[in-house]
Amino acid sequence: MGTVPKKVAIIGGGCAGVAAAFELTRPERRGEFDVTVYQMGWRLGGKGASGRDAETGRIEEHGLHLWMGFYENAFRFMRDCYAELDRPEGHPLRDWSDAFKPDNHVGVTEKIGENQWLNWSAYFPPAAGLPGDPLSDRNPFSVQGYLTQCLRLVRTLLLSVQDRGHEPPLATDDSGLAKAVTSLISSLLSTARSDMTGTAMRAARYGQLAVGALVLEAIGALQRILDTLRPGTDPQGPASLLDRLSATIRYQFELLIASDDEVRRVWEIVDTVLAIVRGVLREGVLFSPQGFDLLDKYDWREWLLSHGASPATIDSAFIRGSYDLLFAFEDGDVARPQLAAGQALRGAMRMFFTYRGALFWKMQAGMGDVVFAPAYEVLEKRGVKFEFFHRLDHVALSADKSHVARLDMSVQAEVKRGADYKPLVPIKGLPCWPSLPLYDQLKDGAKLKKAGWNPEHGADGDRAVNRKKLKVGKDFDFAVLAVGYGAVPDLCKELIAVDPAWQRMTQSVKTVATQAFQVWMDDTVEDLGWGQPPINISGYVEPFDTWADMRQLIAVEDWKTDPKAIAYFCSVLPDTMTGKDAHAHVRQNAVTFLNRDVAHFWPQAVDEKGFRWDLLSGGKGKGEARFDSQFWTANTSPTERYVLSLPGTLEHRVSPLYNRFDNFTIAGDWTGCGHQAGCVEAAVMSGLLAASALSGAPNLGHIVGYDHP
Amino acid sequence: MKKPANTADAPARLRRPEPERTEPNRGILGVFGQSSWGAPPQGSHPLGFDEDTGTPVEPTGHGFLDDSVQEASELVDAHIRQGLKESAGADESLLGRMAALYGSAQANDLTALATQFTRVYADMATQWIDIAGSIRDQLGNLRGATASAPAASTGIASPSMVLRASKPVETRVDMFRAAGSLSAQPLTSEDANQDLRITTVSVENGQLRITIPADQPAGTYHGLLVEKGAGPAGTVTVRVFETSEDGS
Ligand SMILES: Cc1cc2nc3c(=O)[nH]c(=O)nc-3n(C[C@H](O)[C@H](O)[C@H](O)COP(=O)(O)OP(=O)(O)OC[C@H]3O[C@@H](n4cnc5c(N)ncnc54)[C@H](O)[C@@H]3O)c2cc1C
Repeated sequence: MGTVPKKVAIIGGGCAGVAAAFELTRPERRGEFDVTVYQMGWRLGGKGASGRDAETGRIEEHGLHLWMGFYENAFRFMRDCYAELDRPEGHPLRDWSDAFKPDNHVGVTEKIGENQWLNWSAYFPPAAGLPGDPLSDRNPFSVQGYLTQCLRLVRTLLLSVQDRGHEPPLATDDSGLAKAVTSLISSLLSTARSDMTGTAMRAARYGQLAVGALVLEAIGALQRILDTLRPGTDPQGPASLLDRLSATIRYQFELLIASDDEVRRVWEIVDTVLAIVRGVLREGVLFSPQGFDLLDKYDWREWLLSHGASPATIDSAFIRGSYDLLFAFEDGDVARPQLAAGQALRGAMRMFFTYRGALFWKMQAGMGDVVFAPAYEVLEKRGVKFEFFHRLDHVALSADKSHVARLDMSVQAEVKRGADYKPLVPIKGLPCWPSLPLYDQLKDGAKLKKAGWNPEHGADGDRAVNRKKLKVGKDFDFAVLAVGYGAVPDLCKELIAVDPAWQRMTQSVKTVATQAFQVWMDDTVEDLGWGQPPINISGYVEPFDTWADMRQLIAVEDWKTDPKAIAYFCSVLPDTMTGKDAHAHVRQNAVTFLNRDVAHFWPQAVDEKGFRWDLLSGGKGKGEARFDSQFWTANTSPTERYVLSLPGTLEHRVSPLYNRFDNFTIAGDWTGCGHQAGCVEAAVMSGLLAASALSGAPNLGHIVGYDHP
Repeated sequence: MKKPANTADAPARLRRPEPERTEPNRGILGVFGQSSWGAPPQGSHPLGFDEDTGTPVEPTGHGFLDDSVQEASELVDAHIRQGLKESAGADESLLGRMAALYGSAQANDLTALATQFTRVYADMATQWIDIAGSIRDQLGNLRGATASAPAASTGIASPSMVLRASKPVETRVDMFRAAGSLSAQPLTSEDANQDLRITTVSVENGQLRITIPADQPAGTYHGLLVEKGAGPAGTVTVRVFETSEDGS
């Protein structure tokens, strides 16, 4: 083409930064951009980074990561990446479909009394297509469509109760009234069963029809009961009759619920869905130019409550699970769940109603191995430069404040003989990121190795053997800031000082620390008493509300003797525990959890003395000390902190498209990227938007779900 | 894209192109989706469940519900037609009009039209949901305050009735509220195992006409009286008795 490539500096190689690099260097762009990724430490991945232990090849994750079936942009990115990589036959993760496997089982635990919990495992049927497939509709998302889906869900749920043969229990007294109420309930439940093709088809046209039908049936049923009761039996007239009726219904329903957990769960979801439908209609979301954003000023649970969900429902496993999924606890305080209702609703609608293939997809190796190693390989082949061990310290504006003039960097370590750092190691034929830097390649490597130097953490991260000042026009033309949000306020002081939008954002967006631990065990979880399919389950007791069975990883790790089970646990970490003892706190939390709480999942793993530490693979010594061989992490540094979707804050996020500083854009799950939640899909969308901001491509209409209500 | 300025004190510098917009389009397009615009890419298919792989939908032959849905569908259709008439006075389909408008007309026109349309739709739908809610409260609001009662059915004029039957029957009509322009739905048995309905029910010139077939099984049958454009207004109940052995 003859034109000089435009130099782009991308700072931060997490999902967002890598997606932006991938987009800007697509072969179709014929070298228009010359991209360099500056990444502190030795690996890409950020909050999605993972590493391999040098001895066992075991995978050590930043936290549990699952991909959802609605991650259209993230899967498209991965599919393109694997296609371009074109790995040879016999490669352990040759194709994207080797790397991600569908997972149809989702679990929540629910509290049924003081210290009593129940596991609920739900199966979500495979949906048509695969995430990342092309869409025939440019924008298939509509509020109307979602309402239809909601009502179909109600029907399906009610149907499921019926099909399992749960008839309402017989009334204790045999009065006509009790019988009538029983029949009302069963009639309501059977309404669902009696729904049919016609309804579904019409419902597809007009979302409310299914409920209209439900209502008509319900009114009919109610009226029938009134008719049966009326002749002569009630001297006090219809008002008192209705009082008695509703009292009896409540009694019957409580009976039903008390005797049947399944019915209660179904009821809670039905109640949630009806509150959603009602709320969406009443608040005018259907015709609001803001779509679901309209509701972001409310907390999700409060909003549901205000539209008629019962207190029991908003405390249900389903709703609590949505907070756990998004670590939605302000300051990590589990007593302060806070989640913007509009985004929660958008997330729930996309998660349940627009997934393709499976609701969840599980990676078949570490997220680093599955996502960031292939991305690195492809980008490197395309000519993207990677500057590892480069930490950005400051973003400096021009004198007229119109653009970014300089990027001040610290070099945390230098590679011997000025060579390029080669970051990947092969494990069982798979290119992987190590859990620590490859010290051998570094100057002073032996010393650093001895000290266990970890440039991602605390004071170690502050090491600087050199400083660089990257200058606009010379070292870069455009800059993409793709660090984790926690690092932004400190790095961008100058931007914040001059721009009200940046001020509003940094005053309102908040993050939370997270904690995670992993155990490898010499018994299967079935031997330990788990009786359900392999599961990801959330909604459980703190300090670790989420457990995922990661047995699929055994095959790709490299133990001398394979463990039989791998389990990941994850949760928020309260801000009261994020000080310098954070790592010790998390260890203590994990030990406490194993001793006290894990028996709920694995009864056989615990005896009268507590957790059976001898179960742990690779452990040394006796008792609790064996836990030290396992893996745990406190994710407390600013960039590692998870980005919250707090009510009243999302409107203040700055978009990558915002053009206040004319050679600069941002990427990350904290930006106004259309899907304002801390997840891989949001991060990838932001990366696409950043690319679009610099080049006009991709067209915004091609970022699936950006123009979502 | 602007060309970089090249002066002595400002070295050559590139600038971002101006973005076409900085926010997602969450409004009108979101309401209707965009299915009918532009050719779909190769190998593409719609999002979401196949009828086959998702929630299974099987006909069960419960006619009552079918009719209810039909009724509801007509109701909504009527509202939409009305809304359209008021907003545009044209008889083309809304989506067709929107497709034609899209790209050429002012975004404001589109918004106004769509808003009007959806308002009608939302009002309608809210009405349904509110009824659903009151039933739901009856059932499920375990810890809530006492639920509000549905409208009482006394003292409201009901249509006169013309009944034809060759066996003993008892009938009653209960109106929830005063209503004009009624239609009647077929009557369904209270016994869920009995699906032979009484379909010969109609409202003509304000008269409720019911014909009970000679072979109609004994039992109690119910159906709704629906006011056109406004929803259910009352119920019809018919009890059909066995003919006694001596034929009396
Ligand atoms: C414990 C946990 C579990 C999660 N589970 C899931 C899940 O199951 N599913 C899901 O979809 N999402 C999950 N997420 C969220 C998901 O990981 C993030 O949304 C996503 O990884 C964010 O990507 P990002 O690129 O925006 O930011 P990051 O991943 O934070 O990337 C930022 C990058 O910038 C680098 N960086 C930071 N500061 C500097 C600096 N000064 N100089 C140079 N480089 C710098 C960082 O090292 C990092 O590489 C989880 C998050 C956590 C914390």
